[in-house]
Amino acid sequence: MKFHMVDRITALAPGERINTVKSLAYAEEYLADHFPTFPVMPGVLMLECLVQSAGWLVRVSEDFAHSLINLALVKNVTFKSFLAPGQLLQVEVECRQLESRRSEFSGWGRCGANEIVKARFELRHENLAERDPGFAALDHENISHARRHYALLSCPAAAERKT
Amino acid sequence: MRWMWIDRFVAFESGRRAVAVKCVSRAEDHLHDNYPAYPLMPATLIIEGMAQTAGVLVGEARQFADRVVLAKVPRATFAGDVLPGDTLQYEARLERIDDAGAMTSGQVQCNGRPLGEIDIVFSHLPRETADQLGIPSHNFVFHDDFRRLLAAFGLDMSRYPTAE
Repeated sequence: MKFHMVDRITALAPGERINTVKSLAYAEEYLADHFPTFPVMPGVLMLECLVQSAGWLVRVSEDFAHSLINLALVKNVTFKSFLAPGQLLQVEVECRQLESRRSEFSGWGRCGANEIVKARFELRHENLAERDPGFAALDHENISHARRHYALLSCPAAAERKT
Repeated sequence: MRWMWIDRFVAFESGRRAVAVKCVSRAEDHLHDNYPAYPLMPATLIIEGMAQTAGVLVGEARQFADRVVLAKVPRATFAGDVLPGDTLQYEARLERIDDAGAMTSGQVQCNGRPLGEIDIVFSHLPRETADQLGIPSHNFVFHDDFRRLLAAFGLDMSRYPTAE
């Protein structure tokens, strides 16, 4: 299993907003446990879709300046309905505040006209080299990996495909 | 990746409090995407660890009669990184429970030090909504893995009705 909760970036305005899509496939392993007789996307993974989308927005807005972009605070997450295999979660995340070491967002996940999840959250941006200069190589590796991955998620051919 | 985010219970006081632990292992696939050069336990999965600890506490309080699902996370805080080799401890307290659902408050420790606080609101899925959405009428939430965790802790699971 890959911990990739964004399949495609469909729109991005640096410092402002991002739209992404996550499709839910029966083939995803965790659905066998959640739940054995009623497979639906776990709520916290829908939250992770919003968090990873916000992470891409931060990376692009600050030109991949930080190696680690982690969740620091979650406020008022609401789960309104279930997402089943074969459905798409359309994610929209709006940046409320973007500073160099932290950022604040509102996010929504929808399936067609139905709102499935909404949340407010804050991210922390860091480089390991701030803790120990010896870790600079690890930052470099994380950042190059993120750049390569972003190229895949955001290529125009992907954005133009109808979802 | 499986969907079990607690490894065992270390305390269980019916209707009051539950404590569970989770070992974080480099053998867990998902850590290596978050991040490739510095594997960390994702914070959203820490929320799930608390939701499973608190959810079992809520379910057991009414003999697993309700389909207990996550409704809200009013607040969750995370103070630091959780690395392979660390042990998380989730302590959930039942603040309120009624026919509509339940509220829990919780504290997370990493290797015995405070890591964060996670409060959760659960819904008891109403029968009418469930029928409308085509949701199974049996209790699909508390499947065998959770029952085994409680049995391993020493609870007599034959006291509760079966899921069907």
